[in-house]
Amino acid sequence: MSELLFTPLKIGKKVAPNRIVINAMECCDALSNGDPSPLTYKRYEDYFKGKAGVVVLEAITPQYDYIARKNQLSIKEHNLPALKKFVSHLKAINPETIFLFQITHSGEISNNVYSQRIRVTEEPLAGYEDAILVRETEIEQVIKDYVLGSRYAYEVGADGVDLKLCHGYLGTQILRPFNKDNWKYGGAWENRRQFAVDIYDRVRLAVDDDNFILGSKISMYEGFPGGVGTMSPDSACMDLTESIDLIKTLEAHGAHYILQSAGSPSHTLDLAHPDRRTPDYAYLHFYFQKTCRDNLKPETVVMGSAYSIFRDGKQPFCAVTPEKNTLRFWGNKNIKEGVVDAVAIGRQAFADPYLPAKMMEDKDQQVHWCTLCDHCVELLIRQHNCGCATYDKHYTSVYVDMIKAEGKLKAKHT
Amino acid sequence: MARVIDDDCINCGICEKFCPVGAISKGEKHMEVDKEKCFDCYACEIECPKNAAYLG
Repeated sequence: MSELLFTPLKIGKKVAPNRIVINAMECCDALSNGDPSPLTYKRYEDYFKGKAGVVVLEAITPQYDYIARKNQLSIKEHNLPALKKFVSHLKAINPETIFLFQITHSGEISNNVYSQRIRVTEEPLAGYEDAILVRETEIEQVIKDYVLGSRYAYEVGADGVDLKLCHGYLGTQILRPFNKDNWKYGGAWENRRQFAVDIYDRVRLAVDDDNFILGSKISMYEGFPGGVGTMSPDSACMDLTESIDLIKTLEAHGAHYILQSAGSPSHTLDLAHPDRRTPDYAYLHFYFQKTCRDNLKPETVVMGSAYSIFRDGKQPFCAVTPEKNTLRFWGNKNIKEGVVDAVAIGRQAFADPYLPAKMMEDKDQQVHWCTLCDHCVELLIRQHNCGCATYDKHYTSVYVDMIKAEGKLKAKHT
Repeated sequence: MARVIDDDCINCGICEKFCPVGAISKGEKHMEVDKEKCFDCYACEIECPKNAAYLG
């Protein structure tokens, strides 16, 4: 039997050639009009040449008023020719890789210098006091933007869309218990959940093609009081009742997959991206993945995050041998045991976009394993072009120049 | 912050090979890190077979 990581995976009506997923990783290098730049092209060409089963395009915005990155990709009418050319170019390199566009709205973590932060509660979340309060009128426009962005993604040739509901962006803001005021999409869980339901139902109406994949990356547990997956607006205790209901509801409204994550890079970075100091957080993700797998139909795919930390086993974990703690080991074991259907990598994809092809050919010794230095995250936080500062000389220079000009980063969160 | 290399170093040179910024070279007794150049990528620490490289 083939190694499970490299067996095909049916997602909706399409089939990914293997079970390695490239997570959406923003890189602040779009052209000023939001089109892909030469740097964007280079990154995705490498992912497609590297034979990933699924590539999720970094967060792409359908509007300009609330954005987190200065040089973010956008999906508006003027971007369509460039995006169509981009998708066509990548599909010519490798027609098998599934390509999903992650549609996003940055909400309260929009950049507060050149954009506007918004909140959905009278009481702001601590640290976001400068966000302006919005309600039904503005959120209706957000939904329209998600729908139009999804329609555009279909028109330019994407295989589907990831309707982003994770990592502290607007979708998460609306879903979390802290969204406690009583309004159309606030207060009771049924109200908060309705935001995602309305997007799914309206996207499916706008794209009447069963071949088009729908799904969402979600944070099962955000890890702070009132965050997604907690008991109440002021409790940090984990309670996955709402998260489980969310994934089942998304499935009922057309989701073909759930891309599991946890935490938020803006609030609980290590939970989202387990760090060398906190590698064990990656095991929590296994629990979240299993929870998704156990609560969804077999045909609904569960993709799991936080696999970069395992690399070739050389990481400071305790109570486990390195050979039983590699990305390959856990990927195969978790697929075999029904924990997850596919494994997603983010930082590791920067370190070596050719990882899937190398692993498939048993050339693990040639893989550039991510060192988890998080310099790529620091580049993102400071809005520089992002890439691997350890293995890519271009980004080594970008990082070194940034440190010389700006000094060390004081607070590590986006 | 930068890495240091201690007396457990066996001068195998792996760290020098992996360092992306050329911060490691042979010293009098063992490999040494140029603290001005080191940018904390962890490559030497991960690859060192003797755990001789770590945050100083």
